Amino acid sequence: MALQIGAKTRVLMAMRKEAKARGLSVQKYMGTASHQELIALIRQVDPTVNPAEIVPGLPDIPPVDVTRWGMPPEAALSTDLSRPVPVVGAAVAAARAGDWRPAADLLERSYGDWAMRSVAVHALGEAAADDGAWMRAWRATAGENRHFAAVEAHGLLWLGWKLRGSRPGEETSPMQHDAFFQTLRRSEAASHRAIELAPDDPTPWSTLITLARGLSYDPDQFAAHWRELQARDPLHRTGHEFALMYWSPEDGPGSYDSLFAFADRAAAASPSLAFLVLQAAFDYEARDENIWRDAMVQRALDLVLRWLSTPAGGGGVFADSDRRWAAYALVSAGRGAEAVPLFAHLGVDASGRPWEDYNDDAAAVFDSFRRRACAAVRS
Amino acid sequence: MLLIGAVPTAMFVVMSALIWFNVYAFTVSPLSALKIAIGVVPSAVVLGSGLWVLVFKGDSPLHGVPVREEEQPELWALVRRLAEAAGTAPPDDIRLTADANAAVVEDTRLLGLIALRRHMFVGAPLVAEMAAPHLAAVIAHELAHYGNRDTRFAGTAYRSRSAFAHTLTAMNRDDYLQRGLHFLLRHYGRLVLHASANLSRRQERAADEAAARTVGSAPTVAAFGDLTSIAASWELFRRRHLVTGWQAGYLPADAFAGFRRLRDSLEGEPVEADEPDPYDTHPPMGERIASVRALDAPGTVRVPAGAALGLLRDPRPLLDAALLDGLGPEALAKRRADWPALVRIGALASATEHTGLVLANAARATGRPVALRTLLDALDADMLVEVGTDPAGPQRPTDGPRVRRERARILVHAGLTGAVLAALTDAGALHWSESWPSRGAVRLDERYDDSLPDLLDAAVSDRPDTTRLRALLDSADQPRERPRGRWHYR
Repeated sequence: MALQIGAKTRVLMAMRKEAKARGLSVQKYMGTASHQELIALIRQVDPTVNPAEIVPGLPDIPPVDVTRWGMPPEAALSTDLSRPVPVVGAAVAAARAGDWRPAADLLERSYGDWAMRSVAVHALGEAAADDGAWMRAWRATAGENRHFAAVEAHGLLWLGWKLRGSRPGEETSPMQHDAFFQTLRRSEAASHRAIELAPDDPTPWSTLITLARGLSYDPDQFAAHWRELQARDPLHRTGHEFALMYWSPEDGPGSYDSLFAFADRAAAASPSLAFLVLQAAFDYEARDENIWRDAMVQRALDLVLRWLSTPAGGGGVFADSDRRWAAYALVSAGRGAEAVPLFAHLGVDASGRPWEDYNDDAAAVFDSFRRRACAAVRS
Repeated sequence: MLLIGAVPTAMFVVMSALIWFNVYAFTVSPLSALKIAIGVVPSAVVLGSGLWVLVFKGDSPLHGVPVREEEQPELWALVRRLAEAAGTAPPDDIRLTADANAAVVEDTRLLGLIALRRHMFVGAPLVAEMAAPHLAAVIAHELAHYGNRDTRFAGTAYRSRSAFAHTLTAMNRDDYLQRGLHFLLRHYGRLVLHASANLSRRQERAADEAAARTVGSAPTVAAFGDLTSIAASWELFRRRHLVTGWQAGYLPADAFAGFRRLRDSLEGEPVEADEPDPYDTHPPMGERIASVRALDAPGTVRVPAGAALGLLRDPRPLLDAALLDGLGPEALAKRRADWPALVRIGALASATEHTGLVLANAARATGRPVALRTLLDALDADMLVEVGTDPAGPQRPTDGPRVRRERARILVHAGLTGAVLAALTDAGALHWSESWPSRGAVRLDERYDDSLPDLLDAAVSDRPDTTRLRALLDSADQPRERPRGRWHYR
């Protein structure tokens, strides 16, 4: 306790100094400085304190040394989403270096493995949105084929979001909104082109499901697309993930009851979709944090953990995705100690949801959660 | 009255009880009292400030333009006749406002026990668009509120509501005592609001009947329809048309002529049906129409048929003054333009929002003068990204080249479109026209058979092609005697 007060006082002194340097009062400084700045300042004073205990409202980052549990230091964390599946990572790295062939090979070789295709198109789409040169080279050499078309459609979806940015609507300029809608419309048209080229492929339908929220599809329009996706792959994971986001009552149609019912039905259909209940709880937690201790959520969490212990669940392309949801849910539910092996398995990979919903803070939130997991072991 | 007074009374009782309790505690144990005071004082302050708003708040400043009896004897004579028929004294003044409704307000003190002056507000849009008998029905309805002695306590009912809302929002819900009070007041207050809305609905029904007996059922029913449609179209007009040249410093020379044309263009379009709202102070329109029609009253006051505008001498300046009053002091500094010019001014002002930036970027990138031709040269030289960079834009260090390029393309497209529209307008090659109910329309002169959107897209595409756009600008820009705009081509 004595040490704690000492740290608090020293942080306050440092803040006073920092505020003075900027010509602000301490209150004004605390109101304007970002969480990251405040955390950096606290760490400078004393790296062994938890920011949440110094300044209420700052993230809970227990001062534990995660490397003792075999986890990499915070500086090594990566939010690169192509990393978890090595073949996809290799294709994306080649594409970013200007070579489209590994991407084309992977998509051709794995055609019919819709889970792999979904992960590959998602990661390649981001690379296409960042730099169009390799896509132009691909089309110039190979013409517009079903693989190119699927990546192009998904890439335009990524591009739309990158042009818009992830700030809330009122902090987004009319020009950013226009760019977003125009580009999403282009993605929609490109998806239909991809569907023409590959009528049996669920991937472009999944892209359309992902667009549904941004383009404000009405429920009938959404249902028509959903039926097409279901006909091609009834357990399509990415499709389910974004369908749940479409139905989120946060600013879309539907209610939380129907959201949880949708997630629970999917979980009953296959343990590979049990994570949806955790995703729904993540959506709901701002209203009531106790949702993590709810029986339905706990049941789904145990289902995800059991699924991860099977060869199919623990070795599939979505295994790390399940590990992230399970780790987040375990820490949130006060079962942090059980999350330690999951975080150790994730290693430097801080990509994907739920972390990516925190935008620039994704790696910091990941780090905070794994520290909380480790701290739960110690106490 | 009992119910209206109940909220402030309850607030007063709770506040007094809190203070009394604290004072009592002080006599028993000053230290505990001090601790209690930490909780009680903020609550008492919040309640007290709410009551202050209610009891001592003076009248808000009057809006609208006064209509003087010596200048407008016909309108005043009608109002006097209607007041007489309603069995009440006429208002002390009549004011023309920029709202699409009419109202009666009385200045009062001490919760309505002392009445000072009566004001009648009549919306300029109603005067401009209604027939005289219909407007008379609206005025008769408002005067009936005087006859029924409604208005004196209406201010109290209104302020009771606002004091209540003020108190609820001022309460700090972090603290248990205030949270508890908030809970009590919220639930109890909802009951009272509902009751006061009911009272208000009864007053409206009585006023409807009085209006029908004075001017007749038929004009009264017609006035209901007029009010709904004028309110909806006036809202659209204010939002979409009236301020279209505002940023560029212009207002319409004859706003109400435009409003008439907007309403003509909306003729036959359904007016939104109003959904029943439990807190609405008016009964549903269908109900009001049915009960007035059922009265089948012939009316006692004869109002000459014809437009309500006929009741005013030289109405245009008066209507215009009412409109300016509603737009605030800045409106006085605006210049006036006729509607076709206003369409052009408004559209060019919004189309050229990004033109200055894009032209300046092109001039900097090429080292040449600021001109549309410089911009086209820069695009031909594949300088899209340089020309389309906005230093104040949303870019991030992690943006890839495609993101930067697409963002630039959108900005350049917008800036180029504005520059081309301005240049073609200067050259007389674009025709701007009114197109009610839309903001306006623009058309390229018949001499040219190009599609302007295609030419603009081609200029900012990945393989830029400005030749057809240049050809169009060249052929339009034949030397003629005319003023030059800001964004000339050469």
